[in-house]
Amino acid sequence: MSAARVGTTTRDQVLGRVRSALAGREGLPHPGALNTDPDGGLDALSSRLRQNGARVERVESGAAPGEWIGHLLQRLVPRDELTVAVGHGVPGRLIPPLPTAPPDQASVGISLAWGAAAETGTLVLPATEGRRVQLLVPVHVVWLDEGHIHARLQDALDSARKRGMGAALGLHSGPSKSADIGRTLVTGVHGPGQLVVAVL
Amino acid sequence: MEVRSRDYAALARAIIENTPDVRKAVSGATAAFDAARRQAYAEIDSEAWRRWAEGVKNHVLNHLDRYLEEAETRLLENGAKVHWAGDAQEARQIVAELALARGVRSVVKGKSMLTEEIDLNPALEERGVQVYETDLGEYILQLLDEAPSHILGPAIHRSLEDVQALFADRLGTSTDALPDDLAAAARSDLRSRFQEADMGISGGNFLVAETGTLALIENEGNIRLTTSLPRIHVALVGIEKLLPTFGDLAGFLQLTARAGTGQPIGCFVSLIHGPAREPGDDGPEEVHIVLVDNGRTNVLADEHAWETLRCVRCGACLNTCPVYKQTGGHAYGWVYSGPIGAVLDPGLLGLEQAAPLPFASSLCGACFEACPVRIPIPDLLLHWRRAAQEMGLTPVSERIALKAFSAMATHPGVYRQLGRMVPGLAGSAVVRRLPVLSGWTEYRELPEPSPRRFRDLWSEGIGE
Repeated sequence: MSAARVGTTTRDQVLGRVRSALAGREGLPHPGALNTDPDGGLDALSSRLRQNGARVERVESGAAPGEWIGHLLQRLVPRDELTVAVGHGVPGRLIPPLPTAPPDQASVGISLAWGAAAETGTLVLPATEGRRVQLLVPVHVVWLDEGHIHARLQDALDSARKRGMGAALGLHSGPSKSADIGRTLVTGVHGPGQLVVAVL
Repeated sequence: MEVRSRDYAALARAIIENTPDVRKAVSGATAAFDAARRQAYAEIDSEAWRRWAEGVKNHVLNHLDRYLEEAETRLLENGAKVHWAGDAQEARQIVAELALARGVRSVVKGKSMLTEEIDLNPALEERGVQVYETDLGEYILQLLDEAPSHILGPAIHRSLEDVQALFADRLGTSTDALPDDLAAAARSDLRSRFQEADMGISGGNFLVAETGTLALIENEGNIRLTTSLPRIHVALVGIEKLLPTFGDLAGFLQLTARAGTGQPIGCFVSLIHGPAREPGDDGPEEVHIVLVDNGRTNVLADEHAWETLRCVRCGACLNTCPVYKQTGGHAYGWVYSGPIGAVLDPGLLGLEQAAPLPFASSLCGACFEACPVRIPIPDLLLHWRRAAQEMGLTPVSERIALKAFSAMATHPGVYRQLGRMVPGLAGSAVVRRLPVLSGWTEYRELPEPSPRRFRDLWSEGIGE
């Protein structure tokens, strides 16, 4: 602690070396915002998400969302293995009438996105949902309100910032994948091998 | 890891002669990465994006003290702890003490070049802490006890057959198992490690000063698990990884992915601010950010080499380099290989430790064209070559060759005479045995000379 008082901590040494390295340098200005103008809307988002390897489905008009996603999941996962883990922020009407299980045992996790970016096909997921539901399941279903789609990624991030970013945000843009073994693409390495975006 | 960069020539020769499959595997993988990068650049105004990214990084590096302090303030406000490490030994000490003080028995790790740079794993293992690499490529290398060969694809020098044999031996899979089955075996082995680990260790792609946001890019999901499941998360971040504002993040996340793998963005990005705040967060109780210098301030002080600190570790320069793809990363003798390693390692390690690396290039310039932050790698290669020559660190034959060329080029009469002689001689056994050229041609292809001299073409008007 005495080192801290006399100003010879590692922190001060590192900052001192930085300052001495920069002495006499001109202070280069920040170039400002990167201007991009990508296509927005559900079509652009869906197209990008599908390229990234995700599945995009829109709730049939008039259908009850919980029932609808339940039927969809029965086509994706064998019925005797079908159990769901549900994120904390998902309202009751979006939860399928299926047996539940903890995230490390469930076959499907269900989350609610804060928003999305069409530019990259990215869903913004808050940690308050419960990160295990987003990560430990083989199939990850993310509910997305069409009104929350941004064209630019930065706009989606800024929108999340306004809501208070909390401990962490996860940006999910496709299923877990790797080409580390013999350059062959493998999905579902550690995170979910299937990403299903369910649009409201 | 142990620095063996002075042995570049011998290491490169041994790889090419003894393990020809490495050249094949690395060439194939880097060609695929490079083609994807070119296509991804073509989809955006890549020139404008690269100039913007260069400008942001130049700004943050030229105000680095201010932004480091701002990042620290925000991280502390967010409930994270901030540590400063002057060198590798201090960084290891910080992490080891954190682990021991908290009774940590096992650690899961996300891929981090910085932890390779500072030799973190052995320091933890010596103290009885089990360390599990969780990136699939790093997992393969940990089983093989090998160093990474590429920034993004650490095991790209290993073939499917290599992994089949390895996993059959260690995980009991069949010797003809498909990649899906091999990945499933690794996943099942590692899933319990994630659940049991007390500490997760990651690197950091970016640290946003304005908000204290640590950003991590990946495709597998292992980094999200590493930073979410264990009760303690420790991130080791080089001091050059800062971004000034939150508004810079989207551009860098996209450009880094496009440069590295050709994707619009990594499948998973973690934006971390601090420990879990609510019971349902599933996040760590403690988040520690270790800011590491380890030679970076020396690089910052160099009036040319400071530009290497813009590097975002995308690997694009490796993928496009005709020299790197002959050997992969191991020939370079340290963690950062390829064109960026050839200009970064002399700065971080000291030129004495890495003198051959700036010469491991044909100066073709492809690395600069690929670099998302426009690091002038060819200029910096020449910068380090000059420095090596001044310090007497170049091979004697190389020094004589450079002196001879310099004398020749500054005496037009001699130059003209030699120019008339060379077309008849070049490529001949006589020239290759000349003492001056043998040092030069030992590791270089001597190009076939044009039948007409440049000076003649010039005087006649080139292109007419």
